[in-house]
Amino acid sequence: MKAFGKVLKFELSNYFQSKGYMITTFLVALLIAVVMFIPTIIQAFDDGDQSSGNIEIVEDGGDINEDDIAGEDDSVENVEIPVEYDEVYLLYDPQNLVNDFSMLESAFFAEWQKVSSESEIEAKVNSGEAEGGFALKSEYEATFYALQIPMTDNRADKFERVFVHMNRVAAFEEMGFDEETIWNIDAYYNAYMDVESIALKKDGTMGFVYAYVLIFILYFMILMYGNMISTSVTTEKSSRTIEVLVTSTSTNALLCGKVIAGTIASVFQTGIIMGAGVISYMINKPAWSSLISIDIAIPANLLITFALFGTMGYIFYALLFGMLGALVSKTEDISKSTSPLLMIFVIVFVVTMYSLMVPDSIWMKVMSYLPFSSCNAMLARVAVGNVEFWEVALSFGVLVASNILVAWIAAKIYRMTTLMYGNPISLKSAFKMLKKDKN
Amino acid sequence: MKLEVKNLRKSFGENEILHGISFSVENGKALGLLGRNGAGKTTTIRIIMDVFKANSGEVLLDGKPFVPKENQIGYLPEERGMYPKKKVVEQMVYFAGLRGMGAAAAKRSALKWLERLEISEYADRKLETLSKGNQQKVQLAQTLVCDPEIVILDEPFSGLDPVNSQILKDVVTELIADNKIVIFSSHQMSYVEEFCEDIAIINHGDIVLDGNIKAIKKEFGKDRLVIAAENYSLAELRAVLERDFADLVYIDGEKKEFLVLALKDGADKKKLMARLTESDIDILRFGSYEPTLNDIFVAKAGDN
Repeated sequence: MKAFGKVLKFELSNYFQSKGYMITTFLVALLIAVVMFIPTIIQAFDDGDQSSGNIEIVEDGGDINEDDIAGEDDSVENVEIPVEYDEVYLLYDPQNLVNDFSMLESAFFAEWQKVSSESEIEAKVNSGEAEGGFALKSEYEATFYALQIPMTDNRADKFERVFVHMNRVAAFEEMGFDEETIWNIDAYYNAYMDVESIALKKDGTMGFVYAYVLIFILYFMILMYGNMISTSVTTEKSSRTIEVLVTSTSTNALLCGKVIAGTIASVFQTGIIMGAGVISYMINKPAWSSLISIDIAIPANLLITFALFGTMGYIFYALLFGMLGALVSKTEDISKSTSPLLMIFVIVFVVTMYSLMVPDSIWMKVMSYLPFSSCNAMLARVAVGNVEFWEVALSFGVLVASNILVAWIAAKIYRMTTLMYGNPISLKSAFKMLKKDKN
Repeated sequence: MKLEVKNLRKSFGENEILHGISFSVENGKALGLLGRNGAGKTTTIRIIMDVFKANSGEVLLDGKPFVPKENQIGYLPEERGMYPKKKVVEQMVYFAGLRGMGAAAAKRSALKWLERLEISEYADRKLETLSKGNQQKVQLAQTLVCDPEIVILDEPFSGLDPVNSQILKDVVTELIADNKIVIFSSHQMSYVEEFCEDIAIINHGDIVLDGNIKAIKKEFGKDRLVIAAENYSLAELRAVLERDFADLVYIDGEKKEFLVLALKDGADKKKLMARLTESDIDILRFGSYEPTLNDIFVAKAGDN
């Protein structure tokens, strides 16, 4: 244990004395903090412009005080302005559902013409006579034609809204309301309402977000730091220091010290970077609120699960990376040795992510007990599924036991391969040698 | 203290490298493990250090199984290696710590040894910035930093210039005087000869010769004489001796300045001297032959 402490201290000092490590940590943290401040900075510069923007919207909306209601697409009431339109849209309307084009014209800022068949729309759009066209099959079904429909295209939505609105207006007018009254009622009642949901047992939506984020953190850490941990083990073989080390102290202490030091260093780096992100987000939260608004309130049970399973799961993988690092003697061979493990982890990650929607499936239950996947799957089940305490405890027990086993095997392999230089040793032949060693 | 190696056998795959190596060494003495490249010296040392497991045989310290980690051992492996990017004194303290030494004592001892090996100015430099010879000395200082009772040095002289070799020789002499057990391997006979009382010559995985160096030399020089003449060149002298003295001696070797003669059965020094005085040989040099370790080594570990 004393030797473990010494190895840990020494290996940690390797990280914290390394300029590369410290500079990366603080530079990335700084960068993230700066990004978080951007909306605040933009707002500070944009104050003047924003107020004039508000006035415009109020003008458009007439009586309406709420600024959000009347987006530019809703300016359908500006019907009186006589304009020469450049663009032409076509409508095939066999049931004669549309009689007045004024609203469509002002919404699309284009001239509307009726045609006698769907194929005519296609032909005219193809020839360039019209920008696009709609075939109105019934009150509930239409087809939109255009040469190109980019991802941001909103013409189909616009058509739907105008059409529904026209029908509403027509229906209300039949009942004796005029259009202006309808507009006013709409404007009054369309005001947004903030509805806060409080799930007394489990909040699926937020749980989903938390699980997603936490699993992602773990994913990135293993992906980013796995090879770093392997490298710390391999370096001693490549610098030939290993013979002095294994004759000086226990290999368990050496391997575990290295792996745990790598774990602490990577958790420290991630912590600093994420901490910088979260703190600077909190400071700039008002400025961000128009874009994203996150109330970080991870439930305690999920946080504890993350702390336990995240740490142990991460150490599980770190030990495996350490073991794979012991199989090679040159740092340039590390990726060859570790890529199968990375592959396993990526598969586990992808499967968990896809299974987040069905956290109580048999598949997820199985995964939540396997040491390779429990750090992800159990987290997901606690966040969004139904899970009993004993299940979590059992899974955690399995994970801890696996860690002890892997540490033991890894130290054995580390010791056995001490003086094996040259080509990377496959895990299979390493196990064979271990078996032979025992006999 | 007595370290005994008994009947070590070791195979790598189908290939048996050591076929039963035995020797022993006591404190206050140095044992030179001699052998050609690939003879099995390093493998033997690694088995003593528990880097490798022997297939059979045992290593005993005062009659009990020897466990390297339970003793304070200074081990200089053949594959030298320390942390290239760490400061010299820092890593020496770390290595001492791994062997159970407290940090303050380790630092004191590290500085003492750096001083002793005349490299104290590099204490705060990164190892990789030092010359190869100085790195070698740092490695040696690291080996000795824990004041070990048993010192095992695998090819300690390789890579050292004559001045540094002299420093190392002095250090080893001090270790012996300090009553430590010193084992070292080498194929540089002159160093071994200077301070080893005992040697063990390993050839192709077998001990071909071991014991006290003086006794070995005496035994090896027994019934052998050297001769040189004023009036004959060595070649002429050889011809004369082979012609006129064949009943008494045969020529066992030719050195730069003399011939080595071996007495035949029934012949002795006196008889030979009487006959020589009767002959026309004008003797320049005549006496008993004292072989060098090199001669013994070549005779025992040479290809024939």
